[in-house]
Amino acid sequence: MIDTIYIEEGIEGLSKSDEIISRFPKATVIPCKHYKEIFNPSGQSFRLQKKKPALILARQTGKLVHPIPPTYGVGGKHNFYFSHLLNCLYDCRYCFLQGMYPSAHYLLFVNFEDFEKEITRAAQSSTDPSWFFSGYDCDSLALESVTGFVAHFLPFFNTLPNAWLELRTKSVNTQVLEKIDPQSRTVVAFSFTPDQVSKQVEHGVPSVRARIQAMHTLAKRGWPVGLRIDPLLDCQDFENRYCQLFEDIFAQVPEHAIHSVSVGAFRMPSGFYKKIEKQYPEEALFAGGFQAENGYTGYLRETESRLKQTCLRLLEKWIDPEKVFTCET
Amino acid sequence: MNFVIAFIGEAQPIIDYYGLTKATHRSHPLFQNNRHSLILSGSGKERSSWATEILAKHTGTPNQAWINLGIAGHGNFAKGDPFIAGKIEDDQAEESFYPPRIYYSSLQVSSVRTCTEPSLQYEEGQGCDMESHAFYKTAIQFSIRELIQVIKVVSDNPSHPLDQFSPQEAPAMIHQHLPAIDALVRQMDQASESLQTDQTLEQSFIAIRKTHSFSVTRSHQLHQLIRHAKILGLDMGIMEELARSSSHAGDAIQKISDFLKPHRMLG
Repeated sequence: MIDTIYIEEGIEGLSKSDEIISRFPKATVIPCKHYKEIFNPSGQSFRLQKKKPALILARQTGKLVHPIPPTYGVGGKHNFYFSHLLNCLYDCRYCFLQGMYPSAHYLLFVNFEDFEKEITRAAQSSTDPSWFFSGYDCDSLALESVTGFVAHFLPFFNTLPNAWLELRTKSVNTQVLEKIDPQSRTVVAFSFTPDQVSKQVEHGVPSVRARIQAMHTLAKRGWPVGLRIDPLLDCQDFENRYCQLFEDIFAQVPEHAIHSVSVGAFRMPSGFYKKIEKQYPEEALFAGGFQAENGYTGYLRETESRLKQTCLRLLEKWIDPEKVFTCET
Repeated sequence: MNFVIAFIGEAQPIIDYYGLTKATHRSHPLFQNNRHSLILSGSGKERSSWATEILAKHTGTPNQAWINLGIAGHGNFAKGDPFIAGKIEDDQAEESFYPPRIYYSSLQVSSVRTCTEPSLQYEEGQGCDMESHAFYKTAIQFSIRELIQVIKVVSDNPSHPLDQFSPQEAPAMIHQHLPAIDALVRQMDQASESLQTDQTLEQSFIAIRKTHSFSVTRSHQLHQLIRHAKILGLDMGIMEELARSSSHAGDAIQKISDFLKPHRMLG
């Protein structure tokens, strides 16, 4: 899967680095001074790199835990995100990462302990519950076999009495969670688009059916699960397709197991959108009649409202509206 | 593919393999066919950089594939071994380059250090040459990094130092690795082609633009609409007809835009 590993000179020989490298005995290991030498230069093609991304092992410095926009939470008062990994195993055409980063390589920060210190500080800054979102710049589970992120961080989060963790994923790689007791303050949130849409724009992602099955398995074992209908994408037969999606999900996952549902229409910073559209000029998604407004590109206001209202109405049949949150830009 | 190669001895196997013929150029020996170009740079950083720039301007198309091929010393690879550069350093510059490894290749990977003078100092795990860093630094002005690679064949190492190497050995050394080189050339050319402009789209756009006098902004809008129409699988004849039946450029933009509106969603 990975045949090139770049490693910062400062973290060569660390046990975490050695452990990861040992999982890829055939990979070529290339040392570098700083990950930015490889990840940041201009003139790279995200699209071409996505065909065969390398792994970069590095140490993240500076601020490691960041507040999230106030309209993006799932009911918590204090919300943060942290990114131990930049970029994703999957290749979803709507994903903002394609426009955010110049490189598609997987950039893994191995200094997990530094993340822990900052998470602890953030959690202790209030006695109220604090939420930590781990899947902003990556899929929280998809590269678990490489990163060991979940296996490392779940026991840590268990020691923080007021900290909630969201693992956001499209992966069905849930073995790590099936092996341990469920944690009441860890929500495994699965993202969905209807099957017909997923097949068009979510490349390399497990099928909708497989994701529902993974959600079912975890819910049955007692894990709180989340449902993320984000991004909502306009498509032919929109209402019927989303109706079918919810029927399929709620046939397998009982309402009481669902911690929260969030709904958000496709939108992203216009600069990212332009970069992505330039890379994929033949992509049907980008002929979707979007508009730029206040620095963001998304559906026309009336379209966005129609998609959201339809979706919220469909969800009413299945779930307590108090568990449903809408993401606004 | 654009090849930048220092000497004819290193280039001859490529010229023969791809059937390149000598083209006229006032400053450099240049060989071409309808798919590939090869320029002889001569030895050293400045010459390699200059030749790369000359060839880029000669061919003119952005985002073409580039390879710097030649012989190099190496700290531990055997004489005759080929390798592809995974990291390119320079004896006088801080900046290193890391050609992205997105292709499937049987070639070994090694770092290479570009030196100002021929060197008998061999470092474990590292190649040494006189061109690749300058080549790469120049080529990234004309193409994306994935489309620029450096391939070297080991001419000398601590057991067979440079002073024992005869340039006459170069053609045979490179010749035996042509299948691996060609496999990479094909993948790189394919990657380059995937980034080139859709010519059928451009032809449709040009035909429709002729119907009225479009300003620069409106040309841009029209191009986007035509591109979307093509993505959505709509008939270009209808777009042209809509433009022809319009009274002016703005009207054409509006009519095509209105026509596209109900189609603008995923299938």
